[in-house]
Amino acid sequence: MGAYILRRILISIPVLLGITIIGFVALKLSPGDPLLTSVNPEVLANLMANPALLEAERRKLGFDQPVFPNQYFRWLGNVLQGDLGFSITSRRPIVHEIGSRLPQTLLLMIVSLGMAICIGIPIGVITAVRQYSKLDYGLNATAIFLASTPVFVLALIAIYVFAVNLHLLPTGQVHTVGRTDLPDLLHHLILPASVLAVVNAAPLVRYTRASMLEVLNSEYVTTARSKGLVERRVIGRHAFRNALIPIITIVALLIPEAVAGAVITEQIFAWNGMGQLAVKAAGARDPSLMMGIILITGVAVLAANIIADIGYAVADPRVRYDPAK
Amino acid sequence: MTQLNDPSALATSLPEGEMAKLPVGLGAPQVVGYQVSPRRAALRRFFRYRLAIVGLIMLSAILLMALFAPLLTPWPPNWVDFSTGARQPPDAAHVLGTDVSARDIWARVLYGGRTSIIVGFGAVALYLIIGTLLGLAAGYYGRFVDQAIMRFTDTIMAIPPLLLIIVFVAVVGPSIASVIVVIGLLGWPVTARLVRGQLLVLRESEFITAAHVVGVPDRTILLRHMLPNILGPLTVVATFGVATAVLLESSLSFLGLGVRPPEASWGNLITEAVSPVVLTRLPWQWVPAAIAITTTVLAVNFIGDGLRDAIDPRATKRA
Repeated sequence: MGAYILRRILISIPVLLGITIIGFVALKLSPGDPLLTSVNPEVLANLMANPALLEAERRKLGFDQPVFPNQYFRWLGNVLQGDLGFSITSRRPIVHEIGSRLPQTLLLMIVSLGMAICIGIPIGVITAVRQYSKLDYGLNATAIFLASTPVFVLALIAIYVFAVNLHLLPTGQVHTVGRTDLPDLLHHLILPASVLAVVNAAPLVRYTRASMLEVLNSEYVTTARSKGLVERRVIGRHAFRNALIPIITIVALLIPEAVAGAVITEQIFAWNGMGQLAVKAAGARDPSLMMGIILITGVAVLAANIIADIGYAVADPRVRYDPAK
Repeated sequence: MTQLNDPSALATSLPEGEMAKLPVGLGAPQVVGYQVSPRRAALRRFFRYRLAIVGLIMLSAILLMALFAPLLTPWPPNWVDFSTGARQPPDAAHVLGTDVSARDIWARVLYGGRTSIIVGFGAVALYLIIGTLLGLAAGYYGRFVDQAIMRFTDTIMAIPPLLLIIVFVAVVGPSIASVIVVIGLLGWPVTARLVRGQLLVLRESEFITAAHVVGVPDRTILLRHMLPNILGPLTVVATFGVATAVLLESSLSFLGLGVRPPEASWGNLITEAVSPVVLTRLPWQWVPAAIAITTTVLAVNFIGDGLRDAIDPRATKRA
């Protein structure tokens, strides 16, 4: 097991480096003076007065050297020490910008993914067990329909119905102005989290159904039935637990899509998170901010995939001995 | 674009009854008495899937509407009609009313369809080429080239596509062309993986060994014997890719980071609905575009489902 985890982590190192290269490319492709994104704005203001000092600073930071490998490795060194540079719009360090937004996004993502799992997996199992029933067709059609509707349309409809017409929930923001308590936060969380949950549950339903059907058609399920086991036990004990294993990977693979959904949802609900920050950064063409967001989400997705793979290996011991892995 | 938006990555199981009825699998021995070419058999299976036909009809209608947009509305999409005024409800002159800038909504929906379709098909065509070439290179050269390409693929897939596309569209500046190019340049990983996976499976098959034995050159084996066998699953991936690309473009444009006004796009037509007044009082401003997006994506997904079931369902699963 230890060897498997180690190997799994080792093969993600090139991917991790790749993510930093993409972040670096985004930073370098953006127009503008690189000094703006790497020097503390207050210090820079003083330097601006004196062209000679400015030039010296440029040389000190290595901007006169080749972009690759010199500038890249210098930048990578800074990133590893937690220095992601400065935002050209807010003039604050990127680490602070992202740090102040991360908790809201994590909250939204975790709650909505949790809800999606709680909705999607049971429905997927039901549709598989009742294959070709009216219930199966109905739920499946709903899932396809939801997967074909853009997140922002669902979010707008949700706002229209629950916030504007029924006045049940707020239309946006993380908190009511002047309040910071938990009930207020949850009250604001319900709508965006539910929209995201529905969007993420749709593909989960279809995957769970496919995985469950495959298991239900396997021979050991027939054996379990033929030895007279109660159907509920066949499904709950024998089929479901095996069908669940591939779902672990699916949930991890859903995370990039969930992030994309979160970007749009945060924007519509004025949810003060990283997604909203990303749209703001792109709109203002703030290179270091965009780079920082790419790095953080890339690393987070990579970590989620590693955890999922390890979870898979724990759930299914056969994986560990697969020579192809 | 991960194919997770639609469930094509894992083949949903074909009904068992259907499975037995399949006349031929790809390259499988003939089981039915009369001779049917694999392609015709696949076509037959496709047309047996009723939703795929519905999808085909829906998509054709949308394509025709976008193509003949000037015949279907007297208004140019960017024409500001001062005599009618802004935010007017539907009437005889403006069948879907006018928007906040007094432009005809029906005309903007029609012309916005052109944007979505061009982006959807253009981006997918671009990344199919890139993905196929990289996948072929990885599967053919193996070893170091394979490792390098696959790690590169993993890297692109680790970053949420929408985020990556937002960033690079912002860097090159938003426009239809940049949306196509950016989605095209970043969307190939799924295709590359599929092509490589299929190639690895094909490499072990007997007819390839036979070709090697009789001395067919490697390049000919790759292009004449292997590539045609991948076209089926590739079509399926491409179809779902179009659905994803249409959704991506509309999301980008909705966020104001893709196709920018005055150029019409279904996504940027809905942007106005962020204001509560438009959302509740002027539904004709955003509902038609929303219906248009969902209908198009649904149609493409139906076609994709039909294609996947028609082309050996197990083939897509190997990827």
